[in-house]
Parts: sequence; structure tokens; C-alpha cells
Amino acid sequence: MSDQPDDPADAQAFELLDSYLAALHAGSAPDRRQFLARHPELAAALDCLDAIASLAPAPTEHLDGRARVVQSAPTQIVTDAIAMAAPARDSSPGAAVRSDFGDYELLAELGRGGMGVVYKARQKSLDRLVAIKMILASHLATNDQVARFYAEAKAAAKLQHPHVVGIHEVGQLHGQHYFVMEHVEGQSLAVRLASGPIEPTAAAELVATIARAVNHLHAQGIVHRDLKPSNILIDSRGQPHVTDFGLAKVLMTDSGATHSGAIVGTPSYMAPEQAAARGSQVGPRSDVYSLGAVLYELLTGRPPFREATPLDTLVQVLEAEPRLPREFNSNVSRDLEMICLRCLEKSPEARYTTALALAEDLERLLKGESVDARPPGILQRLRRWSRRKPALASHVGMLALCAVIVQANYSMTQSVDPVTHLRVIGVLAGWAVICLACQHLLSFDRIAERARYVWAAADVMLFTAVVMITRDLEGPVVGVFPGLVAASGLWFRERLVWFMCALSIVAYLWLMLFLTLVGPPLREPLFRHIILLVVLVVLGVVVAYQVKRIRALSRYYEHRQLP
Amino acid sequence: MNSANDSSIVEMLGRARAGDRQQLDRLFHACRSYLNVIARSQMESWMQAKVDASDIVQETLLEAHRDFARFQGTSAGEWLAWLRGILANNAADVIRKYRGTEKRQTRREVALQPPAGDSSGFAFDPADSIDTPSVQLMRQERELRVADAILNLSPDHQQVIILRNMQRLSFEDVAERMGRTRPAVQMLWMRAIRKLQEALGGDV
Repeated sequence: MSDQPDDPADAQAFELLDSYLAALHAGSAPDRRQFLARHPELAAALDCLDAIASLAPAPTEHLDGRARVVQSAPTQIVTDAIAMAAPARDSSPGAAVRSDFGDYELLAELGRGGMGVVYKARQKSLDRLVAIKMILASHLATNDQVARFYAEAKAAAKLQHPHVVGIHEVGQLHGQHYFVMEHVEGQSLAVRLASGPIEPTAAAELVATIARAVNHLHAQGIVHRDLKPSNILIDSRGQPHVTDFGLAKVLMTDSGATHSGAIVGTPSYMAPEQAAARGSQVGPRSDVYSLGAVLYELLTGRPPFREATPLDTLVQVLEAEPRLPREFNSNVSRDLEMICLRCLEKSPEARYTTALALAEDLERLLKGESVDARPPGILQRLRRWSRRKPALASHVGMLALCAVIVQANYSMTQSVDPVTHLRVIGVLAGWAVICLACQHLLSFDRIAERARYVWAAADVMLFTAVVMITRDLEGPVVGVFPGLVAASGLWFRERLVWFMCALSIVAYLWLMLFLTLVGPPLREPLFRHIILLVVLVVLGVVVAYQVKRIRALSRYYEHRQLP
Repeated sequence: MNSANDSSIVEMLGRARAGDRQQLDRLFHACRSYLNVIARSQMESWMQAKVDASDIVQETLLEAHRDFARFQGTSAGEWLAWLRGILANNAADVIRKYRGTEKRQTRREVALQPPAGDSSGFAFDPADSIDTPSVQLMRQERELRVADAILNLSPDHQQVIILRNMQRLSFEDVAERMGRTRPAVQMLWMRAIRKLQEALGGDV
């Protein structure tokens, strides 16, 4: 299935329902008649949206509710209610909140992240604008965590850098832990990216600036660990400011045993060593990877890896090579592409040694000097290619190996007649061409899912063709059928495994029938063939079950994910 | 849809108060899905990971059952608001538990107060509303049906509705939390709304 609605009418319906919902959430009663005049068929859907909205308390009720909560604040329940943001679900960013919080007057909600809610606020004593982040209670469950939070925050508060969002204060009020940051007027890079990629030179400049700021963090012994577009603020002059650093370690990795090892968030910007939870290997070079991921998204409009589920994304982060930025944006120079890919190397040693080295290389590029990043050698290029297209690489590799063996057998034994030999080689060559075509289809999101089935079917049919030519079903080649079923599990799709299993059984039955009719007749007794068929079924069940289990684990982690 | 059945909340409430245990059980049963959806719409996803919303609902219903005699209200609106008040306190307890301080403080009184002008933001004050009483009543009955219908959807469909419509996150955030692409989440949402629409079948 594709990601995009196939039907333009669907896309239009979505736009309408979405804008209706936005109006509902904004608190203005949307004009139903106006919506229905254009699309009367959506009446029932609008009813649904209304009905759900009536379940979630209306925005005005909320605002009052929350304001009162904060002002009356005598007990922990009350502040917990903010931390949990329980009734405050109206909170579209920018919603007005007007209420007091110690020395601060909360003005508006700026956003919600993994750690808590961020408010724009005015510090009354100094009469300045600040941003306050309220930490979700669950992140600081134990005294130890609270102590570490304060230690990290103190370290972070020492930082002063024009492109790092400064921390003014850390504290606790009514049991609510919070920290106060500089307020940066502007938007996050994630918001900016929503309107498409950024021009390559500007992107290189931006990332060079960010990399220098990150290097400043590293010099103070702080690893950011959560660099991503939403943690980079762009001020009104277009200058970047890195935020949310360091604290990620305390707030995201653990609340005791429950969280250790859990994958946090979407691993799209995470270095492989981070995604694989190899904590001891996480260091400044993990941030270099994340900087590369940000650069990649600035150039192409999408992160290096983003699949439909976290499991698929994780597998890609660990094993696959990102598609070349130049495939998406031909304005990207070769040098810039090399710099970007060097950051995204799987092995930390292969990346830039420091964020500073990355910044300097980008600056060399901007000045038109030759860059440090070297074009990859032939071996490395081959390795990258096979990681980018693992299915094609393994198919082509296997086919080449088969061709070599078949050819060797033909040349050395003289037992095969030339016509049969040529036909087999021909089928293998045709098979390789079909693999190329299937790989090409895989790169279109809309048809990728179907392309996998086509590829699986082609594998079975072409192998069947080989057996029909050689008329040899009872030799060791029957092992190919179980092999195909086992390999189909690598796509991580249960239905595909069943599909492959069923197809293999049908093909095997067909070959038995074919040989019985055309000859040479089967030599082995029937029960041996039945055993093989049973083995195929059992193998299908086992592989499908394992895929299902991995999917279940993936869903489990998905649900444990911090918001 | 298993709630509401043929008699309304107010009727069930009246009979339950008169001592009909069976009606009392039906009344609680009818409100279970409603509380479940509300609980999930108010809990951050990290909470859902560690605590099953239905546990909190269960506890809420047990407490409501125990303290039923002390509930003063008569309207469906007051009844649901009372349940929501207990639910909010139970949720706050869970949070406190995760923070490691097990203080139960004044929550009993809070829970038992009729929620008129309540400070938790759940207040449902009929006087605030311009709807007539019968429209009001229909509204509560409808809420129960919608909650039921939501819980009958597939887990993915439930989640996307709760995150987008009830927690009011942007599609961008929903995509991040569900670990999917934004277009995938938008399509999921469309399907979820369509399914809900079918399930309610003009019943809204």
C-alpha cells in the first residue's frame, strides 16, 4: 500500500475534514453549511468530528480550567495536572494561557515535546521574555534522577554561545520541576522544513553554524544526543539556535529498569550506535551523525531514513545506506553530498572526528576550496551500493555464483548438452534483468509493496523454469524452494512469507506433474516428495511466526515510545 | 454498541438510587467505554505504556460504586462529570506513584464533591450552556455511544483519533508518536473517521 491517498477525491476530503477539525480546535464554531455546500457527502464525517469533539472538553472550559489550576495551586495534585496536561488538551501551540507561575507569568503554550510542555512566559522581576519547560513528572521519578537532572542543568547553564539557547534557571515550584531558557522569537527548523528543502548553499551555511555550536557543547563535555530539526530554532534573522541539549541523557534514557534499552522516539536522526542502544559508544560523533541527518533533510526534504514503522526505520538506520541526496535534488554538489554521507557513516570512526571538523569542511566548500571528504574507493562504493539495494545485491550475487557453477560444470564434465546449457544461462541472465526492474519499482513508494510480491513470484517462476529445462527435480536443487521461503522473511512481511510458501508448493506440484507427463519420470517414491512439501509448509509457518513476533516486539516498543 | 441500551442514564440513575442493584451495574457498564476514552485522551502516551487505561477506569468504577450513595446530582451531565472527577484524581495518583511520593492527601474530599464549578476543567455546568435540557440529555447519551464506537475500532484507528482529535496533536506530532510517516498517518486518520462513521451509522 502506498502512503499517499490514491484518490484525488480522498485527498480533497482530507483537506476539508482537516480544516474543519482545525476550526473546531481553534474554538471557533466552524460553519457547517459552508463546508457542506461544497461537499454534502461529508455530512456524516463532520458529525463524527463534532461527536468526538464533544467527548473532549471544549477549549474554553479548558483554558479556564487550567488557569484556575495554576493559580490555586496548593497541592501537588494541581501541578501534576499540569504536568500530565490532563484537561489541558486544547493546547494548540500558541494558545493563550495567562496565569502565574512563581516569578513568571505564563503567556502562551509554545509546544509539547518528549520531556514536557514549553510555555512562553514573562519573568516579572526582570521584565523579560523567557521560555519555561515544565518537565513531565515521570521523567524525574527517583531522587537520583532529580539529582542528575540538576547536575546536567547546571552544566548546561554555564554555556554561553550565540547559537546555543541559554539556560537561565532550574527549579521546582509546587513539586513541578522546570527550567527557564532564553526565548528565541522564531520557528523551529522542523516547521521551516515543512515547506520544502532549503537551497544547498544556505543549508551548508546553516549546518556549519550549528556544527560550531554543537562543538562548543562538546568542548564543555556535553553530548547533545537528540539533535533534530525540532530542536533547532531559527530566529527572525535566520540564525540557528541549538536547544534541548544534554538533558536528553537524564530525561530520555531511563526511569529505572522500565526504560533502559527502549528506543526513544523515531530513530530517523539517531546514529546507529544510539539506535542500537550501545550506550557506551554514544559520544560526540553520534552528534556528528545527527548533524549529517539534519543536513540530509535540509537538502532533500526528508530524513535519511523514514519508513512506515519504527522497526523498519530502525533496520534501515542499522543496515541500509541512505539514497544519494543528488537523486532528490540535482542542485546538490558532489562535494556537499560527500560531506553529508561522511557524517552518516555507520561506523563512528569513519565520520568526521569532531563537529568542528565538519564545520570547517563545510566552510571550505562554501569558500570553493577542496574539501576533506574523499570520494569513496571502489570497494567502499560497492559496499554502499549493496547496502542501499540489499535485495538486488543478494540476487545478483547469487545469480552470478550460480552462473559460474553452471558454466564450470559444463566446461569440465561435458555431461550437459549445449542447448540446455545455453537455455539455463539465458534464464539466469533474464532473471538478473527482472531483478533490476523490480529494484527500480521498489523506489516508487506507491507500488513498492506490490513490487515485492512481483519479485517473489518472479523468483519462484524463474527457478521453476530452470528445473523444467534441466528436468532434474530430485537433485540438491530442491533446496532452493526452502531457501526462497526462508529468504522471503527478510522483507519482514508476514503475508509475503505465506505468499512465497504457497507459490513454492504450487510450483513444486507443477514440476512433479510436468516431469510425470513429459519425463524423465520421478525416481524417488512419492512419500519423499510429500516430506519435502511438509517441510515447506513447516518452514513457512516458522518464518511467518518469527516475522509476526518481530512485528509484535516492534509494536511493543512503539507503544513504550516517549512522546 | 453495548451501552445505553434502551433506558437513559437518568432513568438508570433513578432506579439505582432506589436500590436496584442490577440497574446500578448497568449504569456503570454503560459508562465504561466513555471513561476509557476520556482516560486515554488525557494520558500522555508514555503513561499508556506503563499503565493500562482500563486499570484506572476499573479503579474509578470501583470507587464510584463504593461512594455511590454520596453522589448528590440527578442529571446525566452531573453524573458523567462526577465520574470524570474521580478519574482525574486516580490519574493524578498514578503520576505521583511514578514520581515515587505516595501521598494520597486530600483526594477523597475532592473526589466526592459534586463537580459544580469544579476546578479540574471537567465542569459541565448546564447553566453555561444554551442547550435545552433535552438536547443536553441527548448529548450525553451520544457521548457514550461515540465512546463505545471508538473503542470498537482497531487499535491503530483508536490511537490516531485519540492523538489527533482528542489530544489535539498536529499530524506531524501524531506521525512522530506513532512512528509513521505523516501521509501514512493522515490516511490512517481518514480511514478511522470513515470506520467510525460507519459504526455510528447516522446515529450521531
